[in-house]
Amino acid sequence: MSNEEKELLIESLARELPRRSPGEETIMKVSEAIHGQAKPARRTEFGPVMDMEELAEFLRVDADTVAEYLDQIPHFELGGKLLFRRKSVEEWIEARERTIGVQSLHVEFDRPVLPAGTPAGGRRWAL
Amino acid sequence: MAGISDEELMVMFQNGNGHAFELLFEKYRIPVFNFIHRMLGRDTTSAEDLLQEIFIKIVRAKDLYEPRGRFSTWLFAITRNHCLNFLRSRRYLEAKSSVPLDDRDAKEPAVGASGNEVREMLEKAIDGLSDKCREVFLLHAVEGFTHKEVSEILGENAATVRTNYRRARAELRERLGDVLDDREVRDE
Repeated sequence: MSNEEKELLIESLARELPRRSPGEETIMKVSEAIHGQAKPARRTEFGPVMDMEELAEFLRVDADTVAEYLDQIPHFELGGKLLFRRKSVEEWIEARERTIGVQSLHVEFDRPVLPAGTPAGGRRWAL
Repeated sequence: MAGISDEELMVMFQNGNGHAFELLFEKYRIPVFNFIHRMLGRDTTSAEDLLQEIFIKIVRAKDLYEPRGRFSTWLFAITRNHCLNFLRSRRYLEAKSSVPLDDRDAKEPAVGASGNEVREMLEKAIDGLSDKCREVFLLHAVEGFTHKEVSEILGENAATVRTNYRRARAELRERLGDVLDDREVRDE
């Protein structure tokens, strides 16, 4: 057999090499990623009044986290529904930023002093 | 979605249609997986991880795709780069020599080998090629891309691709040696 013939045989064998399939778990993980990503893009604009789901989206957290901090986040009730004024929430965020700044300073010196009115159980230090 | 091109499906996915990308994944997961698998010297576990990583990366960075180019060459270019990064970063080729050889490595080429045995010897011979020769051989001879498409995938000129392909083919011929002289290779 000439070298050319041998190489043609190699090419022919290469076309017949067995094809493996990736595992089911791999296929499933990619499928989950595909559908997770295909969801509509996050909103970037919010009205002056938001409900709980909108607030969660606004804060980039899940609704459970909003529920956990309800005693701190300014809100009002109307028709049995909890509503949040965007302006009040933004002010709350600003105040929280300042508080966290103070907390960080205390953490740095290992002498945490909780601000007055801190709920029982303390605050979250690692944010 | 018959009759819709890969490129159109990718644009549909960019516009939020997850089902369109499912079709692309279904079409390409086997060729991409086999390319990765052979590029990594048939390390199945790492090939699974890399396949997942590549497709998830594409899903997250879907907006980077520009429909001007062919989807398949774009996908394989990303895949090839991931494979090379993996081989480099993990020093895979060096580590491989310390991994216990399995039975596929223990066999010597036998005269009168069956079709399956010859194919297994070819797999082993491909494992032994340099990265450059292996990628060109896998893309052209195994996956069926034209030399022009291979040059697009690798970002190299067509002459270099042809040279590396000829080199790969000649090296495989040398490695397979007498096995190919036996004309009674039969399929099982």
